[in-house]
Amino acid sequence: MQNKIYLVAQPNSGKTTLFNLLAGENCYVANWPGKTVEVFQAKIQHHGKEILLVDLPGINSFKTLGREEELTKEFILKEEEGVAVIILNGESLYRSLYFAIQVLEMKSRAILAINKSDYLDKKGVHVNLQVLKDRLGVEVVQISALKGSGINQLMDRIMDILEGRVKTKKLKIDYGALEQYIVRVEQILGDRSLAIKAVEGEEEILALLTEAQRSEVEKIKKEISQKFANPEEIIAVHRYKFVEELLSSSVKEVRVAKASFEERLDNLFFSKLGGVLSILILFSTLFIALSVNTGFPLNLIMRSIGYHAFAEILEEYSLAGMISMLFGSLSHFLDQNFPDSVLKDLLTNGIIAGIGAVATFFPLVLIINFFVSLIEDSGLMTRIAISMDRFFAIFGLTGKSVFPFGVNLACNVPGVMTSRILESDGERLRVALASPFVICQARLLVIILLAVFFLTPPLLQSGVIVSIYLLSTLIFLLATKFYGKFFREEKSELLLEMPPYHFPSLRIAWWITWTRSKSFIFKIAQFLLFFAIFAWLLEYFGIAELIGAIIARAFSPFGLEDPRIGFALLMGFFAKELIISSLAVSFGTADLVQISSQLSLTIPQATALIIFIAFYTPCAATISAIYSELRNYKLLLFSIALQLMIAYSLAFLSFIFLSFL
Amino acid sequence: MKTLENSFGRVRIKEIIGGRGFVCRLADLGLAPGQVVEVLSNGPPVIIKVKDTKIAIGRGVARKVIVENAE
Ligand SMILES: Nc1nc2c(ncn2[C@@H]2O[C@H](COP(=O)(O)OP(=O)(O)O)[C@@H](O)[C@H]2O)c(=O)[nH]1
Ligand SMILES: [Mg+2]
Repeated sequence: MQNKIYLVAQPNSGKTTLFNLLAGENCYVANWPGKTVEVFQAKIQHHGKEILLVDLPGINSFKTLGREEELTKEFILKEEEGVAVIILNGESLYRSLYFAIQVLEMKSRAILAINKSDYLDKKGVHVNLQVLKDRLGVEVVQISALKGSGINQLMDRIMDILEGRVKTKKLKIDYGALEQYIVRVEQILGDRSLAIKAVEGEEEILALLTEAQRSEVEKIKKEISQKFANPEEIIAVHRYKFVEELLSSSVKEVRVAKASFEERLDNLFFSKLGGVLSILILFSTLFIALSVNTGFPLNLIMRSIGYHAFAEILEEYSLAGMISMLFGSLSHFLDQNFPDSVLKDLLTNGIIAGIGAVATFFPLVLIINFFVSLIEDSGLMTRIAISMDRFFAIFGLTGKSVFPFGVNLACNVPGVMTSRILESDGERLRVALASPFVICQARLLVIILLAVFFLTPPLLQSGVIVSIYLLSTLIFLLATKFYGKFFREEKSELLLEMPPYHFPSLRIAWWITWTRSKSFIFKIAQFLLFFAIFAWLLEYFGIAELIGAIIARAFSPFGLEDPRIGFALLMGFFAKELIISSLAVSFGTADLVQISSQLSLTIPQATALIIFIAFYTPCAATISAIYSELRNYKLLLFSIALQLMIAYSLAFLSFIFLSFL
Repeated sequence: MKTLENSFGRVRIKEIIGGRGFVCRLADLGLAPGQVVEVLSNGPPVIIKVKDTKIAIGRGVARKVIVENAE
């Protein structure tokens, strides 16, 4: 028999910290059948014995219906051999215990680990473990996952349970007036915890029963509902009473002065200035992240104040700069040293280009994940979410949406990924689907270039760019609302617990960043490679030109029927940067001034083109990222059609409008 | 009617209006009838303190929690 233990905790209890401490480098992400939730597992050793460690998703409650809650609940209900390691958050013992006793009602093979003992010591809180142990019927240990204390003792006690040296039993809580009914349901079901769940009204439990059992249970439930309006409320009240008695007999607190700085910071976040402060934090973070990655926008600033050499260094030695240089020289090397063939062409222009695209995304995904986990870990994320909530609530979103939105301004690929921080499935997918409407950095560069060379009046240049930004924000928000029609709940309501502020642990932040980014990149890499080969096929067999001509025909109402533009737009569907390079190839010059004079576009034509480019499907990588979240081809295709339609209509409207002026 | 949305300071929860799932979800956050909580800001969102934790809740949720004066 395999030794198995699984971690169960509410978010923020320190589950990841403990897992990381126990697992070290031996962890892998398990793909669970039929679930999109990622579950970490690791094989660990204790005194020469091998143990499988499973990290279940952190859940707030057994009642919400997110995919993570479902997975965790299902696991706990089904698991028989393994030992549940329930991690309590020392910062909120009361809530943690309320959660823990619900697990203990279901499981006898369990152990409680009160985490953050360092915090408790600092606060002068003393917990009497013996009292807890006697009342709860399971082992209780105190640990600090951060400082690494108490871990050996925890593992020893776990081995005791695994090897049958200690007997533990299921917790029994008295539910007062409901007891007689629970006992009757228990007689039918043969299990008290299932009986309680049935009385609480959990439909899944009923689905497990035979026809005869179900009708018996339904009868009892009807009796209950005749006497009590809200039986689940009675259950909750009894649980709280139990926890209160438990705490008052086991916890002694020596009162310490409040951290007044935290209070003052909180008051600032909740005031009218909170929004401004949040935006300031977000944008400076974004600015730093981007400058590390591509040098942009810091390079433009340096250039504008005359430090040209510095700007060049920034561009060349930025992460993206170095990676694209690497892949550039790789294709160049192949090109020089091998005879021309289809295979070489596929390799250099298809496969290496595809892998290169994945590689250039990776640093940005890493950097952004790192900053997001720092903000999350420091306690700032909830404060920022709260201060932005008022605004986002207008569109049925929670304030947390500001994070995916902000990241989308840098790049839609990590932007889509960041939507995972949103609690409800509906909100997560709505934001992911609407992400392409936010103008990313790559598109910004293309738009700026085209505006500078195709639109001469400077006022018009900046006017067009600013209106594109305002419009895209509005369309993003409206789109999230619109996509709500496809999901169960249209409006998401904020319900957030605020962790105390603290200095984030770099080690943990990096570990989270690394594991998250790795699995994400592998997921989208396969799609990106597919797109790269597909694009290569189109080009190699001359189909791309044909499609380009068809696209150009669609733009004939604007007088833009040049097939070279159509071809550039087709390439732009795969990656926006390709618009400039494919224009350069088909015009035989990289000089945008020459291209512009050859095309000689009127102001309405150029504006329409720029607006179309700003709003249509950003790139193959974003499509891949959305698909890996959504797993729904139809809705994905629909969203692409919507992007094309909106881009075209906006281009058309701006063309008409400017033609009249 | 006095709810979490329109009160301030220490209050006792009297009743929570909503379906089973909703009531239990709030209970998991420490919001159950009989509990005394402290409203710190009316927001939106409403900020409350339950025992040792601060919680932010949207207006729509706050409106469904009926309260009375604590003392
Ligand atoms: N003071 C203290 N903080 C801890 C301890 N363990 C975790 N934390 C912090 O608690 C926060 C949540 O930890 P994390 O592992 O991400 O929790 P999870 O949400 O349960 O995975 C992080 O900021 C950790 O640094 C501990 O033993 N002591
Ligand atoms: Mg975690």
